[in-house]
Amino acid sequence: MSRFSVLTALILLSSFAPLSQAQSLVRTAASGGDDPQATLGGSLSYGTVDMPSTLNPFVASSLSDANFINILLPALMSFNSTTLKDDNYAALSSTVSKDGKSITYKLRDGLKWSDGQDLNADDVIYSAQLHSRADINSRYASSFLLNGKPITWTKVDNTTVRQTLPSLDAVALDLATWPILPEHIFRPILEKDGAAGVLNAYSIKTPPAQIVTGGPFTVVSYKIGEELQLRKNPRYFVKDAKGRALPYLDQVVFKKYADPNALLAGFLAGQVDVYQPRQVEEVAAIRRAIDSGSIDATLKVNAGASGVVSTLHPNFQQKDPVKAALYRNVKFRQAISYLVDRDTIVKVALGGLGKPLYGPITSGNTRWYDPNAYVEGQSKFSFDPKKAAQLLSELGYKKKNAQGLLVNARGQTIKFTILASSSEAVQKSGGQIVVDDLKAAGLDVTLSVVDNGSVVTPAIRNFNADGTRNFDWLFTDFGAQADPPTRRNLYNLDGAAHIYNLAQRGQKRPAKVDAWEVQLDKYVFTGLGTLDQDQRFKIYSDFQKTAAKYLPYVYIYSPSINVAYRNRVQNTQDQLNKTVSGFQGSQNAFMGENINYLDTIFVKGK
Amino acid sequence: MGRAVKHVRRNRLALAATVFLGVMYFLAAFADFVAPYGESEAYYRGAIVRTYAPPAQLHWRDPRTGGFTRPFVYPLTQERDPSTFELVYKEDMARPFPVQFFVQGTPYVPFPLSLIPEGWRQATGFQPQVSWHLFGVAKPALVQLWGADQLGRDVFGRILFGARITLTVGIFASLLTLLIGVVVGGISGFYGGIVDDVCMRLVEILITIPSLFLLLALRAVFPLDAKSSTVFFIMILILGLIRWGTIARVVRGQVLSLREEEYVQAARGLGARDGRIIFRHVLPGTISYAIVSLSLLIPSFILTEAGLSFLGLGISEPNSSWGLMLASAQEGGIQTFVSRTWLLVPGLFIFLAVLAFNFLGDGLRDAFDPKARK
Repeated sequence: MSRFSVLTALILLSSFAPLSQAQSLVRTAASGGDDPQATLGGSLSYGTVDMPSTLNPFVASSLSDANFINILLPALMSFNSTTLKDDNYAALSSTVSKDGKSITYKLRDGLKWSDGQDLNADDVIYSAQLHSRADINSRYASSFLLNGKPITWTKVDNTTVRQTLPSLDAVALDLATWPILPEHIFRPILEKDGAAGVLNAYSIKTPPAQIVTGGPFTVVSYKIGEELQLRKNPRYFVKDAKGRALPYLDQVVFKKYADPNALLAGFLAGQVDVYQPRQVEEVAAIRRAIDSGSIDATLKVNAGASGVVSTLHPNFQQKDPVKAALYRNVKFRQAISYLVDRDTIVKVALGGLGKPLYGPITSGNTRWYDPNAYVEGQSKFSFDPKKAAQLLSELGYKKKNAQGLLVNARGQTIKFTILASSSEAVQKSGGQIVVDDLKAAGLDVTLSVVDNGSVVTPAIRNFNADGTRNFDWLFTDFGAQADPPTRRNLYNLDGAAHIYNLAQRGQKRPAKVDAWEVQLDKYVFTGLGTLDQDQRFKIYSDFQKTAAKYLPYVYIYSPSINVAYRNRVQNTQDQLNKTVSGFQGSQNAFMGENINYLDTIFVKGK
Repeated sequence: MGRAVKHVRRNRLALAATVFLGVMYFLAAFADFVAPYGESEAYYRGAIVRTYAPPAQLHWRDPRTGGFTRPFVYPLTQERDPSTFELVYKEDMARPFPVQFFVQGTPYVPFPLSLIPEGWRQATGFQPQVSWHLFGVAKPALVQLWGADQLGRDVFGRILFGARITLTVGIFASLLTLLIGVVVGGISGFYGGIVDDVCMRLVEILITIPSLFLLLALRAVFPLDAKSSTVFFIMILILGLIRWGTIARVVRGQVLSLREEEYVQAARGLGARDGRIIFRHVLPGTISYAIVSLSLLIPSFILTEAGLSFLGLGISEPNSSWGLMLASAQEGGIQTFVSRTWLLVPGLFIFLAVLAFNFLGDGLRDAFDPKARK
């Protein structure tokens, strides 16, 4: 060949080379991918009380199972805990159509599974089909339905897929975070053994070499119920800013501990690298160990605000019609809110590790929390027994009888029971404080500590023949979703977690609803029905105002997030950003709030 | 009986045990008077805050003269150390508060009258209240001899109030169990045949019932607003009604051999009715086993009560019982052993009570044992 054509060929060839690299996901500085001190290699030890019972994403029954699986399998999009938005993961880009009803995802080129096979649109479509199948009944099946109607996934070409929605949804990208599985592994299994074979694959007994992964790690070994060892996946498609293949870590080890106390002891003994203390006692123990030099670690208290919402709420469908009418009266609920001494509860029951809460969204949801929505006297009712007395007297309870209880004109007292779960220490101690204040105000209240599974759950779910339920008031903590902040099943009229006024099975709404409940339900839908961020913020701000004013739940506190880790661990969330988010990235949710990107975590020294 | 008492008196351990139990029952009865503060008198807010306060430091020496003086305490200030996150209590040495005896304090309904149920007292308006306490100090100082729990309640007082539940439940439930077990075992062993078969099969069914799940299921059956003390007593009743099985079996075995004794045949020959033979002649022979059983059952029920409290099935706040206090201590995690050891005192008392009942049972058994007669 002439020199000229060789040169041309070389130039042409070299112009293709960068193309294959451009398809990797690059972790930027914000995600820990640009740390000059980052070193490859090393091992991270993580302690857990719940070990996985399966590595099969269809079968995974608990949140912790799902979280393990998310470390192993890729997805099109992945949740970013800092921005509270979904980022591209296996997808290179996502394009939303003008009407918002279809999203086209371009997959990255050159993606590979851990066994070297290509990862392309066929895998995505096949996984979508498996997740949607009724006989497989996948844990992620709800990601393929929008308001009961199916979402379809179609292949456009080898690296492009399209998600078609029945209606516009502002959080549709979140519906692309389900795990993608290798078609070349699962198609033969489905054809040979059917759905049962698919459900039995990737179990904890499957030899690790047969578990093909596409995420940052693969399985090395699993001593069932004791220890799970993961090893770096050399074919992972994510790189750091310098172009090195991630993850930095060579190995991650998950160790089982019998209970949180044992786990804390393990952390204090240096057996695990990361711990998330929740109680002030744990914080003090870690502080003591650090100060005495027995572990080389960092402890940050109030590193972030959690999304967890702790509430006290009534039963609108109480058997006794007098009680039901009273609980449905917004003034009564506001009076109760005036009688909850949130500051003391945070100080005594939480040891200061929390913040008072007055509405449905905590300050930890930096995207949607609107502090201006909470106006004292209108949508914020902080501890003030005098105002409570005034509201109660407006309800007719003006005088106190011989026992010091408020009575109305007919001589009736306000008598009810608050249920607290026997396994929740804060509900028990905080509950005592609430009951003391309610009694001082003249209400005949008792705190009833009962077992959660056998008493509380039936009390919530079981209806009497006339459509009423039997409990009075109940302490309940709700986990939170970053987006939509209204949580899909909490404020909907037909939501399964709409427990203060619950729809019976098969009903679209509870028997009796008030206008403000309908309004809250409307906000859930309208908030999802537009892609305009400013409009969504306004909707969610109105949502907060309404919920905080009408108090379907008397909001009490949200716990703080505290993090502790041995100093060898680098690039944790608190090191990368000022605050730690209370919302879990689906990819690394298992590691706790402080690890947002497991693939950019590295360890210094031994 | 007199001989038994003499026997116990000679056995030092049994004597010590009896004295201890007697003192505990006495203190439990007069807990309102002996304890300086009420059962649920909490100090977690306002001028006096005593969350997890350590045991009160009694001072005996006058700071100025250095000589001995009547004991006094200082009020405490509380703050949470911002770096170690531990609660720090400092004594405010400005003014000493001497411990006084026979002081006026929180009002209460005195002992024999407090046995009348609350409901009856409220209905008739009969609320005789007195305020005398054995000892106390003027506010804002508090004399919490054994520290305070998370809500600032006096542990010493709650131990005494808790003793009421723990000790009475132990005795009554055990007696119930023993009574049923001995009677059924006696009848079953004496008659044999069909009666024996039916009784023993019933016993076997009862023994297989998992009591924990039964109690959890029962609690679900109760109305949600049932008072915790009502629920608790019924739980104990149910437990008493399940546990007689083992006793019945052993008593039956003993009765099988005892009924062949000569004195039994003599009584039969003299025309005594069956009932009289069983209760007057046969069962007294099982008394040694019965006493041992009783002395083992009482601790077993005490520990059961403690266990139920962990599940929220026992006595619940704001009332106190030793089991409940231990459950709360457990929730404190490692810190309970490291910095708040006074919260484990209820465990010490459970241990001592169980030990005392065991020694007493040993002593009584030796006393009643016909073979040990000198």
